Amino acid sequence: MDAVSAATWLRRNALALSAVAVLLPVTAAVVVGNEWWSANSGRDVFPVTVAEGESARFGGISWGPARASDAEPGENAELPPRTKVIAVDIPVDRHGKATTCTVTGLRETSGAQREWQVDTKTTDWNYRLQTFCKSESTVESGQSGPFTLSLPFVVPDDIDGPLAVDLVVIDELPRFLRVEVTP
Amino acid sequence: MMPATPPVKSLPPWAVWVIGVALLGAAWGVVQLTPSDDAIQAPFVVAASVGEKATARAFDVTVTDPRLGDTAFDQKGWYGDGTWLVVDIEAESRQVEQGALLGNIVFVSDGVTYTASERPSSALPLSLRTGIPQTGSVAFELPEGVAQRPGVIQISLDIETRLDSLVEVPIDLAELTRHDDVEMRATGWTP
Repeated sequence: MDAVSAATWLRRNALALSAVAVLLPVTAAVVVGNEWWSANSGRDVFPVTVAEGESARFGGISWGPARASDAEPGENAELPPRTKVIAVDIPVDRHGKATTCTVTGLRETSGAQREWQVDTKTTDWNYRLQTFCKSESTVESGQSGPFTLSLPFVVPDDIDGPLAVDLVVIDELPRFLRVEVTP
Repeated sequence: MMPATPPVKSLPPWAVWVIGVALLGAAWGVVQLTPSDDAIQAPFVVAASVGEKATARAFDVTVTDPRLGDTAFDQKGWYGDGTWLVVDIEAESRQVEQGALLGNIVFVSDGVTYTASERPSSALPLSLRTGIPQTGSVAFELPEGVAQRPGVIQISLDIETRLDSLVEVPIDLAELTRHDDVEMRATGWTP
């Protein structure tokens, strides 16, 4: 095929070629996007970050301002050597609703991004302190109103600098709340 | 009128044969280089010796103090007679605690896999903590004949090891002293 007939062929099929050029990437994007969504829509993927000392509304709940500090464990606690307890207090107001929330953990926001889970057992944590958003039945029995999450974490004692607590409200997934704190 | 086509030059017959044989050789080479179906899903082996820290994808683990005995006993009053291999392990998770349950510790000798015994109170399974090491023992109840053979301790989070890290620590049982009693330590924080 010489140059003239090639140009003619391209011109004659311009519409079909541009349709292919658009549809192929769109098809690929839809297939990949669909697979990604079915794999990740139920997971905590996109953080909604609350800067240190600030409050935010997320999932119908008012959060913060959060505060982190080195804390004393309970009297029967047997802490691992070379560790300490960091307690994070997060005021929560569900505005009369009973939206449940779960705490994923405390994480480093830089470096190795290590993560620790709430540990009420090793810290012998005061059982009267709330470590999760209680469910509807508990609220109906008279525990509604604002409260404060008081979350104990056992971490190696060289941990300092900026940290964050990740919280999940099921209906908001794949978005989740990341509350930044510095002990 | 069409332009005149240039004359076609054909290769000499010997060159055709050389190229053909070369292509066959190349095809054979590609077949040899292609990983098997098993290799495509094989675990990533992390080799370490006794006392050396092995760094897997999700956790660090160190195997120490392998010992053989006729009776193994734990700290809760259990004991069992037989042929026992007991090792200590120290482990911690590297990044997350969620899902970091060290649940697969086996001893493999001559292609036969012996799982760590569930009879004594042991470090199996161990819920790993990020950056906070824990120490404990695991025990393998072995046939008498295996006590003279070399083998490998394999450690992973899950029995499903495909495409995940698998720590391998070789141990030659013939080199170990045989004791009457071997003690298993209580599982706890590394002092």
